[in-house]
Parts: sequence; structure tokens; C-alpha cells
Amino acid sequence: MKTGQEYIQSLKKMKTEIYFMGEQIENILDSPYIRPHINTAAVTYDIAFEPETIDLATAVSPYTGKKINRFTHIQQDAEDMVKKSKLLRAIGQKTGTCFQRCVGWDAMNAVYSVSYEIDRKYGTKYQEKVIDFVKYIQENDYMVVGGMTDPKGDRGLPPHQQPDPDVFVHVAERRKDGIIVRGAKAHQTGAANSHEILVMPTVAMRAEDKDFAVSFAAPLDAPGVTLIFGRQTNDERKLGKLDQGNPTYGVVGGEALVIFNNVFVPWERVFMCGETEFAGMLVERFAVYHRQNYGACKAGVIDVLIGASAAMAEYNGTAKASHIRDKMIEMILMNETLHASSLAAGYESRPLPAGNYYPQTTYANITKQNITRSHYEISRLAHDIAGGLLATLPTEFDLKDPVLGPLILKYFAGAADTNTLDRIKLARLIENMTGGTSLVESMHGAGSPQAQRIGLLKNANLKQFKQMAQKICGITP
Amino acid sequence: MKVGVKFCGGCNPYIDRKKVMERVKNMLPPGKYKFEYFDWDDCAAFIAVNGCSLACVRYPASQKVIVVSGFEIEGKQYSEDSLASAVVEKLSALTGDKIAP
Repeated sequence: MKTGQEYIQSLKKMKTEIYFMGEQIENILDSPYIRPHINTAAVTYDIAFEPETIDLATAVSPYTGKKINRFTHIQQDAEDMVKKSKLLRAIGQKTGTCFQRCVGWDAMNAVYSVSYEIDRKYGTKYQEKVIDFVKYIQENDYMVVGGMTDPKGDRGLPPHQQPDPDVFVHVAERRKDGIIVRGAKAHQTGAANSHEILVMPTVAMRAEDKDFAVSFAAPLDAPGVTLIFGRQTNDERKLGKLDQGNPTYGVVGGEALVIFNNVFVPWERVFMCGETEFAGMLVERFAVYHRQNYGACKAGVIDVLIGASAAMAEYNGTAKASHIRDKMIEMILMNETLHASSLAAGYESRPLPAGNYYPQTTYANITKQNITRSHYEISRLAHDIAGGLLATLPTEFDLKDPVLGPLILKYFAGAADTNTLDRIKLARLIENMTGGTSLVESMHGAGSPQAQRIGLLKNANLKQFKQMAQKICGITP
Repeated sequence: MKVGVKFCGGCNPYIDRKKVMERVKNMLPPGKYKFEYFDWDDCAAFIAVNGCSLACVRYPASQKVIVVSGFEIEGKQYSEDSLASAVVEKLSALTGDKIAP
């Protein structure tokens, strides 16, 4: 297993081609835009060595018998699924932001399960190759990006009818030794600071979409892979410190557009190639695995937000007001409901045909559907409690000014015996955790809200419910 | 002597679990006890450190266990400062080792 420092050092060896603000970033470790996300990902490594989290953050590989970082594990039982939820909350509490590494973890579990089912139908050997890949990731303790979302172009058209086929990743050429792929994956959390990408299809497909039903793994510095790092609303803040709110770990995960421009993938790393009827299954598997997480990592992040709001109320001198206490109760109620459904999805998980465990689908969908609402509502309450200074505070550069600084501290003072600079730090933390880029991830990550609603209806036994009602009120069907 | 230690996930901790166990460690004779956080076979005792009274930590049924659950150890309330000495006392009773708290 790697420590956080060893992970950071391993990134130095990567030759990922990445652009931001019109320039190529030669060294991501020195980039103020990317470094906070690297620091956060490093926590997923260090936490595997800390006594109080070793049990949560490590597992034993079923393939090598060795102790591994849990982020590289194939889920063996319901306890693994519960530990996943608890681990993610614990890291969210430490970092206050997205730590990126669960996406690749879920992708490995999804591809592992679906490759087994493709093999069962077609006699292919995909799962052996997936296991080889998983072992490679476990042995090297690498970070993997789960590459799901294609740009999709016209959402009303299937992949094969798109005017530009590149809006979906596809096989451009089949060769004896492998395939050539072209296209892109959008919104790729952690791509800038990961080692490998595990690509999956993003929609259910029909026979004509054969070239688009492709799953493979590739190093992020493979020839032909280009990353364009995404803009965040707080980019300019990253050139300072205090105004970032969370200067060490940043906001959300750091997303990138990952472009595959005729990238060669050897057959050893191809896990699906043309089996269109399994594309939808793979999308659903990944999504359900990932939806459980949103009541875990975000619960940890929201713990930090609730704590910041409670502290802010004390700095404001309003902590004892009944309406403030009531708002704190609302925040706790929503957050613990989120975590409870994530845990339930783990406790009620069941083995898939491949043998690895899979969250209870409805509970996972509920978890994700609720975060699309609760995170926004909790943030609204945090704004309410904290006050208008969230949006109007002067910059840290004015605070450093010998004339303006004392004036800012004088006029932004709060309750007696509280430190005004600390009040400003808290305000900046709340502002950065609840504004701009930070909330959208809760809306669209692991699928937009409507996707969970479709899943909820699909899995609800309405026929049975109707019969229950009819029986009670004496209707004979 | 090998002592297994397992912490809960810490979602709702009323006590500083890490600090409690550091205090326990400091109260034990140096070098005599080895805390093990992952491999719990053949432990002389096992300490389950829970941050709250829910006590979600699972432990091997075969082990001699001390369960810390927030301010409580096996049904009895302690202050956070006195939790460590209570753990040491229980450890002494379980292992038969005379440890001066």
C-alpha cells in the first residue's frame, strides 16, 4: 500500500497531457488549481495507515491474500458495503470535500460483475482480464477514474445516429493486438491526478451501437489522451489562501474532460467490445454502486458544514436563539437521513451473479435522490444561519493591508470574546462549501435526479401495493 | 501481549477515541503490550472503541472484549478523562496481568 506521500510522488512519474487556462500544465503538483485535489486524494492513502481507520480503510484481496487499500477492493460481503459507507463519511469529515477515489472503485466493481455475465453468455474471457487489471491496481495501489459520462451530443439520438460519432467513446478500429478508441468522457472527477481510467458506456444501447458498447482501461498518460481541466467558480481564490475557505483540500473533486484521440488499447485491457445488450446493465450497476456513496462522503462533508454553521452561530452571538437551534435540527435530520439510507443500502446488499456484493437498489436511489435536495436545503440553512457576510466580505488582500485590515476586523467583529479573523475563516469555509461549483456535484454526480426517479418507479411493486389496498377496503380484483 | 483494537467509523463521536487509546497506551508498561489494528487472531484481549452508545463495532465472538461506547464501558458511565484508566483496569482483569493504573 502507498502512503499519501508515496501517492503524490508516483504522480511525478506520470506524463499526463493536461491543459488549463489556455496553457499546458507541466507539473500538476505545483499547480495551485490542481494541488488541493491531490492533497485530498492523498488522504485516501494515509487513512489506511491510521490506527482508528485501518479496519475501515483496508481489506484483504481475494486474489492475492494481501492487505490492500479498500479503494481497490472488490466487495465480498455486506460488511464490506457498510464499511464503504462509513469510510467515505470518515474521509468527508477530514477533508470537507470530494476525495475522488470512490468513482474508480465503483467502476471496478461494476465492470467485474458485468464482465462475468458477458462471459457466461458469449464464452468470452473478459472477467479474467478484469481480475488482472484489479490485481495490477491493488498491487500498485493506483487511483482509477471511473469513466462513464460521454458528452452525448444530441440527447434525443442514439450513439450511432449522432452527426459526430465522437460525442460517444467508440471503437474506431479493431486490430489484431487491440482496439483504437476515439471520443471523450466529460466531468471526470480526479482525472488530473489519477493513474488509470476505466471506461464504461454511458447509456443503454441497441445492436446498431455496437462500436460504442466498449469498456476498457488505459493509463491517463497513454499517447492520444488529453485532459482539459474544468473551471471552478473559486479559481481565482486559489491564488491566495484564506478566501479559499478550505485551502488544503479545495472544493469538489477537480473535474476534467478526458479526450481519446485514436488511443490504442491492447486486448488485455478491453472488458466489453460490442456486446450492446450489456451496456445498460453496466450503466445501472455503476450508477447504483455510486449512488450509495452520496449518503456517505456527502454526510461527512455536511458534518463539517453543520459544524461550521454551529460555530458561526456562536461567533454571531445567535447560538441560543430558538430558530437557530431549530435550523440546526433540520440540518442534522436531513444529514442523518442521508447516511441512514446509505447504510441501509449496504446492510441490505446482495451478491450479484459474479459473487461481488451490490447495494440495495431502491435505498441507493433514495440516497442519491435525497442528496439532490437535502444538500441544497442544508446549504440554504447554513447561509441563513451564517449571515450576509458570506457574500460581501472583503478580500484577504484587503485584510492584509495595514490601514484597511484593522478596519475590516473592527467592523466584522461578532460576539464578545470571539476572534474576528476566525469568524471570517468560518464564513469563507461556508461560502466555498455551499456556492458555485460545490453543489452541482450533488445534483448530477452518479446520474441526474430523473435517473433515480425512473429507478424508484421501476423497482416499486405497485401491483402488490394496489392489491393490499383493495384487500383492506373489500374490493375483489 | 497482543491486544486487538478496533475503532468505529466515527460518524457521531462523543469522545476523542484516538486520545482515549493513546492514554491507555501510556498507562501500560512500555513494550509489554502490542496493539494490533488489523490482524486479530490470538489476541489476549480485544478493545472495541465506539464513539457513541450505538456501539457499532463488530468483534470476534471468541475474544475477551472490552467495549467502550461513548462515555460508557459495559453499562457503567465514566468521564472522558477516566475512560482510559477504566480500560486498563478491565484489561488487567481480562488478561490476569497486574497493571498499576
